[in-house]
Amino acid sequence: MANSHEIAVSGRIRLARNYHDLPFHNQENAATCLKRAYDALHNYTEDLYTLHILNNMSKDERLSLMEEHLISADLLKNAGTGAALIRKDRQVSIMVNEEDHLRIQAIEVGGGLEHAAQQAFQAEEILEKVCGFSFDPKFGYLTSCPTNTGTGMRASLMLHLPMLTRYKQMGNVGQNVAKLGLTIRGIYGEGSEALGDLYQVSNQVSLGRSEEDIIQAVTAVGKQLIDMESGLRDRSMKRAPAELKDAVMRSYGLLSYAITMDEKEFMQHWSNMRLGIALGMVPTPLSTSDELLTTAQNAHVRHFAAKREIASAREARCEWIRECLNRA
Amino acid sequence: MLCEECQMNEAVFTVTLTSGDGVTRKHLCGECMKKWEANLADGDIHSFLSSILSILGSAQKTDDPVCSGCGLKYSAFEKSGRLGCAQCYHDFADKLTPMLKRIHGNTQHNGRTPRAMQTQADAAAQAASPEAETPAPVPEISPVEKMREELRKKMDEAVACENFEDAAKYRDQLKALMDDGEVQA
Ligand SMILES: [Zn+2]
Ligand SMILES: [Zn+2]
Repeated sequence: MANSHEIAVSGRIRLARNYHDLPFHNQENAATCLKRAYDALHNYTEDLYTLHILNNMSKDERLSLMEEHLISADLLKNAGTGAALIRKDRQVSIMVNEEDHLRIQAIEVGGGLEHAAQQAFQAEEILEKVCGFSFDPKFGYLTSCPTNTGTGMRASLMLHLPMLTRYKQMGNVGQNVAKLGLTIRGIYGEGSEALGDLYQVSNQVSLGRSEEDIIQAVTAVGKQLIDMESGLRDRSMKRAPAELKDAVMRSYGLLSYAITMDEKEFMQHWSNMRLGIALGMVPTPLSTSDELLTTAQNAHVRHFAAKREIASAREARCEWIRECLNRA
Repeated sequence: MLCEECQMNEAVFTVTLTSGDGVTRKHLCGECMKKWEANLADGDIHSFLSSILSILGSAQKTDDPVCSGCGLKYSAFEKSGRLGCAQCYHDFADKLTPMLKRIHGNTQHNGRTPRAMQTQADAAAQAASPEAETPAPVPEISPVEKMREELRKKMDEAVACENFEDAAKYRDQLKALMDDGEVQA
């Protein structure tokens, strides 16, 4: 049986919160919200958080934060008023003026949702010191969109499921998961695409269940998906080891020696390589592959290309991947 | 500020209306301004009047409540999916409660309360009987061994309903799991 972090890439807790004395996010109260959040983190944490005001950043700087999952696409849309307060270890980020006044988010490598929740609630407690949040005894935390009402919590696991994808089981899995008030979707790519065979399983329901129940449900389903994936990996290793190894090593070869590569092709080979690392075929640490998942994306490699004066982002991507693989 | 007509877009025009009571100013977005002007240009006196009336705020449809806190119309919420303020939850409660029930299968919060309210809430919880609905059971999805069984069942059902397209799909999925075969890269 595989270690769970060989399949669970990361876990994330997100809390939606609104200040009790203001209407939900609008142009007029945006500055007040930012000031409150900044003051709280500045005064009570000795500058543990760095302020990023989207308006003062280049497009690629913003996209880089999104590639790190520290800000959302919706915050980018609100770039005029949007800001993020990011903890220096980059495990906690607070988006200000997204759909709600605050979106508190904690990320945990390898998936531990309980620890991520602890971190998120710790940040919430600090933010609450300056001004309390909109709350109703019946409906719970009040949010701009009714899909987040109640706990305002979204708990999610990012899972790498190449074998379930290869054996065309994701449709089934999706149906089963939906019955339980949870949802699973591809993280990268458009529509039903799931580039890199990466999926996010998260709670759909936020009202009527406690935070602990939600975390438990997502963790339980995550564990079963991990067991299914891991079962299929064992089965393939027993029945068709040569074919599996061939797919992995071809991708590893391309990542090691190719000169140019676009994001889509990268994601495909990345998935095979990560599978190979988990199965002990490729001598790269898992942490290096997961770092590449962020740093070989478009905005990051454009930055790298500019720094090294490399002609194209696609060439820079290959250069950067090689550096990371050789470093290991 | 937001357009006072649709409550959705940024207001960029200011319309000044002169009536018997004096002068009223309304802030509109580009889209609503265009509609308004089109009505004028078409000489469509009926919609011209109704748009003036709605701009003056005296022609509210009875089935389109307005939030007393932020002035958002329920119809604008239906379009945008975004509520305007905490008061919306109370003023739209009749319509929101069934919607929350549809989304969450539940309408009573059962999680944390803000730290400042915790002692208060504890006392209230002890006084009144808890009205929280039972949480959904802890989920379980079929493990690997059950996957085939389930697919076979679905395939049989599809065949029984003469739904051969679905049946073929399930057969392919099943085959992918049954084959001792190759892994396609
Ligand atoms: Zn408008
Ligand atoms: Zn309102």
